[in-house]
Amino acid sequence: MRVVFGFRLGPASGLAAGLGLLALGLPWLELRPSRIAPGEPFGVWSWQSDWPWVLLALWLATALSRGRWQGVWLGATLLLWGWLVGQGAEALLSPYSQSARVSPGAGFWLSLLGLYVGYFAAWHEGRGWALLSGPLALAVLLWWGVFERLGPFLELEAWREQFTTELWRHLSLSTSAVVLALVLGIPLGVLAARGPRFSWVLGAMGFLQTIPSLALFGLLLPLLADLSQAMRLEVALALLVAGAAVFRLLWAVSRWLAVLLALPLGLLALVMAGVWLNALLGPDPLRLELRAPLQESGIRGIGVAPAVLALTLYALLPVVLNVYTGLRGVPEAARDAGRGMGMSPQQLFWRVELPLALPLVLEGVRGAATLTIGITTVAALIGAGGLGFFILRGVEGGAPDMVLLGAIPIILLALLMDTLLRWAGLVLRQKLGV
Amino acid sequence: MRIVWAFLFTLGLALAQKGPITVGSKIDTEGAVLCQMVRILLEANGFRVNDRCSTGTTDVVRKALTSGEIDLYPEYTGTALGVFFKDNREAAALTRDAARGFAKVRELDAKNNIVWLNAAPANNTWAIAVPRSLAQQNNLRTMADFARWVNGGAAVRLAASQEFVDRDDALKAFERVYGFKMKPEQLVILPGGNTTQTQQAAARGTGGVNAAMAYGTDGGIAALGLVALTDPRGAVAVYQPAITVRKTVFDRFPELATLINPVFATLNEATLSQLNAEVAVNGKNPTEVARAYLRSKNFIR
Repeated sequence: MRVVFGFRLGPASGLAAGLGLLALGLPWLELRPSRIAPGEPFGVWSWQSDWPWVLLALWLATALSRGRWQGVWLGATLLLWGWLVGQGAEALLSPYSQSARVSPGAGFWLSLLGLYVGYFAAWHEGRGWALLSGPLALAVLLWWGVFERLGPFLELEAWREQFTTELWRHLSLSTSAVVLALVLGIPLGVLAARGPRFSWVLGAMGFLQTIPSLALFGLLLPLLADLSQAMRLEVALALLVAGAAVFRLLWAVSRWLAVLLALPLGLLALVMAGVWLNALLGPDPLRLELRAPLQESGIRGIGVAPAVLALTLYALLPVVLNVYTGLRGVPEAARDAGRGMGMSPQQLFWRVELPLALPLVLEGVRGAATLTIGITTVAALIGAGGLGFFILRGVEGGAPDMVLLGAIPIILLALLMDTLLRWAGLVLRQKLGV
Repeated sequence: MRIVWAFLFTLGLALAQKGPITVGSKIDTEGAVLCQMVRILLEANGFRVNDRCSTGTTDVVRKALTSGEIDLYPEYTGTALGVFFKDNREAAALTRDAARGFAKVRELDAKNNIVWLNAAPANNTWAIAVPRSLAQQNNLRTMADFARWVNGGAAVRLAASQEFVDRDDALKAFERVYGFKMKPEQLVILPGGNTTQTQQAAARGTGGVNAAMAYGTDGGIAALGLVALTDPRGAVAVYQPAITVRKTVFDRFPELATLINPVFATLNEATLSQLNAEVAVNGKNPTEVARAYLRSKNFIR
């Protein structure tokens, strides 16, 4: 904390104001004659000459004020910034035809970053209710419709129906992948923590992470396509049931043989579970057709099946690693105490080891969920949809606004998921007292 | 009870419908528009349709068709001759002949159990586009003018995809027929480049680029302030769009031809460019563009 002209300046709020002031000198908006044409940059001063000075004063006020006033100034800054953006879009577009677009530029994003850092700084100092000025100001701006003439919003208007579907698909794909990664990853993590004999688990997870998604899709497409046409649903189900029984018998004879049997069957089960879980959660209806090839039940070489499988494999590493680290971190003294109380190995695991490892396991869930929301973007490459559809189409069509239509919601979703799970972890920690 | 009736009603509706037919396409704008057109047309005629439009790149969508993942998608005659049958010498010789090339593709793909419906009278072939101001200054209208310009030692830099440069019936054909030679340092190769990216590079002058690979029916050429140079001597391959269908599906629903062929007969170059521009330049949804077109021509109500 430094003292400037008798004011105390926090490093984070100072950084926030610095970003905001820097943004005042950069182009806020880019004007394009059409959505694919190159843009011409415009700074905020080119459409307003007085109000930017007020914004400048507000940024200084957010940096130099403390306590609840800081929240109030931040809210006012956000409001004025949004209003200026709306004014700019209006002013720049008025002489042009319908196909002209205004896209956010460097100054726009930098201002937003400044506001984010500012609120983060204020939150760190623990000024609870004053922080509500953020959501409040944002709600007012959206209600005013100040952003409605910006490029990404115009794209949203043209694609509204599909946007809802793709958003839903994005969420159902990521959720299915994370759920499967937890179901698979927690036992694997427990296995890995058993001792050096199982250290290959971590190595295998790390290897999976290094396979590029495109290569994985190229590998899975012909494999799944053949499988989905050759195998019928009831055969697959019978195979899984029989496989589980044979696995138990084989495990007693030779573990390697058992694992060799379990791998392909496990992958088949994973694909089927992923497709059906996604169908239950997502917008596309679930279809199960007995006595028909698997492809009639939605398991195909393109679409959901390869996408969920790939996403699950990618989400495994953070889960397995955190379960492993969590269990490894349980103090030996706690185990001894449990044993001393006469606990069986099972009781020891459920009552001592797992609760103590739980905070780290939750961190793993948070990591996996945030990561998966981001990489679900690749699902669009194999025809499974999701918000990556807009990114792909935008890049392909050379329309930056459309890329933003996919990218902004993904960032918001990831941030939201991160915050929610972080909060859930805090609550759980307080409840457990660790 | 009402639920049961509703269920039976939906079931009856589902049974009365034909199909399902799964439609797919490449990821580009024209693929999406044509795919939606077929989907809307089939649905309006009582088919149940699975929408897999924008399936993937040419490799993926063709593999999806041959492996039965999708039932039909729009493909180009030139791509079939130059990529799917590139080892067939007879096919390679016909890439510049629209009618005989199409007949050859139809014949060759029949062995793969793929049926080609009638091709649209449009040629979405390769072209070279230059900024309009530059074209006016140097009096560039045809590829012959371009050759004169290059041979005159002008500082030409052409943005293109690897395929455009490598293929025998693309840039090399232009060079052979019109008598010019691009030096390697005059080519800017955009990996996996598509025409929007090359045209944006030429429009912005990125890295000194002042000429771009383009397609005949691209929607964005005019919007980016470029003009496509014409190919009066027919140097490069003909790319006519047509729907390719799996034979088993076509045998079950031969009416696919009577439904789709009349629509494709109306799709000439100007029409396709305009439809593509609606999507690429004005940012409209391909579904809406396709529906509006079918309505305007009275194919659907």
